[in-house]
Amino acid sequence: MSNVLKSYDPVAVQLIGDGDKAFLREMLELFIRNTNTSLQGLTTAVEKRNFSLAASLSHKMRGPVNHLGAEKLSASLKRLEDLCVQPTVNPNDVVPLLQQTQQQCDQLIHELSSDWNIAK
Amino acid sequence: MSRVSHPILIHVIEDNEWYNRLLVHSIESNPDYQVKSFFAAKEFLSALKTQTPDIVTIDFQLPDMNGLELLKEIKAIKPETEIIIISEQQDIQTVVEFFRLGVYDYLVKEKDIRNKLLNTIGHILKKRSLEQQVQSLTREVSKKYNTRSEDAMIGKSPALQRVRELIDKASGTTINVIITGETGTGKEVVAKSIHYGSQRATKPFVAVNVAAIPSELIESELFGHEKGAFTGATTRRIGRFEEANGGTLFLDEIGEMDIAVQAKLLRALQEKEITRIGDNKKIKIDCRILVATHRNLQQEITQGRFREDLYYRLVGLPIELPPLRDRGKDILLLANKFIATFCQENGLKTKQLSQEAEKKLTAYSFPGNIRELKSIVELATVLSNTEQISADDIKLSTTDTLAEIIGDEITLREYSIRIVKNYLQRYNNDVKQVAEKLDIGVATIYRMLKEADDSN
Repeated sequence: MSNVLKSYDPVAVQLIGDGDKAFLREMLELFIRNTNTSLQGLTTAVEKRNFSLAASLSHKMRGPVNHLGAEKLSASLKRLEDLCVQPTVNPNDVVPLLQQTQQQCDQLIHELSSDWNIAK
Repeated sequence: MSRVSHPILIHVIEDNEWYNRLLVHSIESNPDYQVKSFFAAKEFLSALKTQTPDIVTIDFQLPDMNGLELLKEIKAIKPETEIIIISEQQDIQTVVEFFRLGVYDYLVKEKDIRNKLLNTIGHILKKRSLEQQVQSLTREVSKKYNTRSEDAMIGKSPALQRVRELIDKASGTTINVIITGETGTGKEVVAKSIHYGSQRATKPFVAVNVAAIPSELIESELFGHEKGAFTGATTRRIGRFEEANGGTLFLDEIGEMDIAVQAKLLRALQEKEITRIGDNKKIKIDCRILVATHRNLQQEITQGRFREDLYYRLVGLPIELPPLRDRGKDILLLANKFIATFCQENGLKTKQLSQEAEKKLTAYSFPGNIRELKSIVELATVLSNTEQISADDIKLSTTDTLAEIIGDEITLREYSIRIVKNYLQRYNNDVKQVAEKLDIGVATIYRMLKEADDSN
């Protein structure tokens, strides 16, 4: 597996398993499943202009993303959270950022599925 | 880290399923740890009614409660539970608030969380183990100095019984205590018995022998000093008052304290605060003061060597320890105990005192009291070649035992001269002091010495 241009840090991923391959697989599967669910929730929250929920979901997504060393996605989620906790939120700022975040998530899930042979 | 005798129960409260699983798996990597996971605060609080986790890890942002609120609830219900906050980076004020409320550690959700968490758990368990050791040792020491324990104060004489009763009274209250008695009568043992029988038993007992510390150092010893306060003060040092905080400070031989330091001690006792030498900051102190002396403090006051106001601040319950020579058969009880302990410590067969050895001991005046008895019988145990300690093995530090003195058939006047000579030897030929001690005139002493000289 090459780590050139990866959106995550393969060394950090290995650390999660700490030598336990079955556990690592379980965690990656869980990550993909939860990220898909959270993304759906995030999209719905933004659509419904429920920005506090969007901020909370962004915040919660960042923990696992940080563990995978997906720094760009982590930064996008942080910006999204910061935008959504403002007293007045401009949806025109949020929506493009959400789209970018979705793309980064899709990219990460694709790479993980392919590199670690995990079904999406 | 040493293994523990029972599994350590750790509760993980984390609403993010992925993170929850990661923390649980990390902790379970140690078979000594038993983990239970929760996804919401209320679910955990409900379990807390029936379970007592040793350690709880909590995420700051939970769906039904934030970390600070949950922390307060846990500390209110189970204050002994150690708490680790595991969270995204929080602002410094929030983190400070966590520690103010008593969290053990705050960990940021980062890639190396597994090692950090296991290290923190290890530290908590090490701290607990040390706390348990301290408790266990404190219990052992308390037992050792319990007045009802046979090992603490050996003896059945009425004089010692009275001392035991007074110790119990002193332990049960906060009254000031002055312990008096000749050297070697066990003043520090009495002070320890009072401390370990009191509500301060789990806090420090600090003893200071005022007579053993040069007068120019005693102030620093008691109150501490700041770095550079005086030549040689290369580091900051806390004093014995601070060391004894919450517990008892025992000032032995208080009668030897320099009059200038007495004034500072009085102020510390009145204000309940001290100031380290070289500093202006006042430090609150909370320690019980027990004092001891072999001197008559009232006499010292009359002679201007002890402050009257300090005396009245210290005076409370006087406990006077009887000299060993007034304790009758306690001498043999103590001697047998010291012999048995010495034999046990040195891997020797237990030895017994012969009847002659017992007679020799009971006839002796023991100016050095229990301390002297102990060294005499330990030496006798070493010198004895059989399982019985003979009279010859008992080496008394002076040859003037009552038995030996009255063993000679001489006149009362000759006995008087022997006594005077013995006192002169004891008090470095200070005729005036000997006259005071024997309650006779200085001229009488000179006359007796002249008579003795003439008859020789």
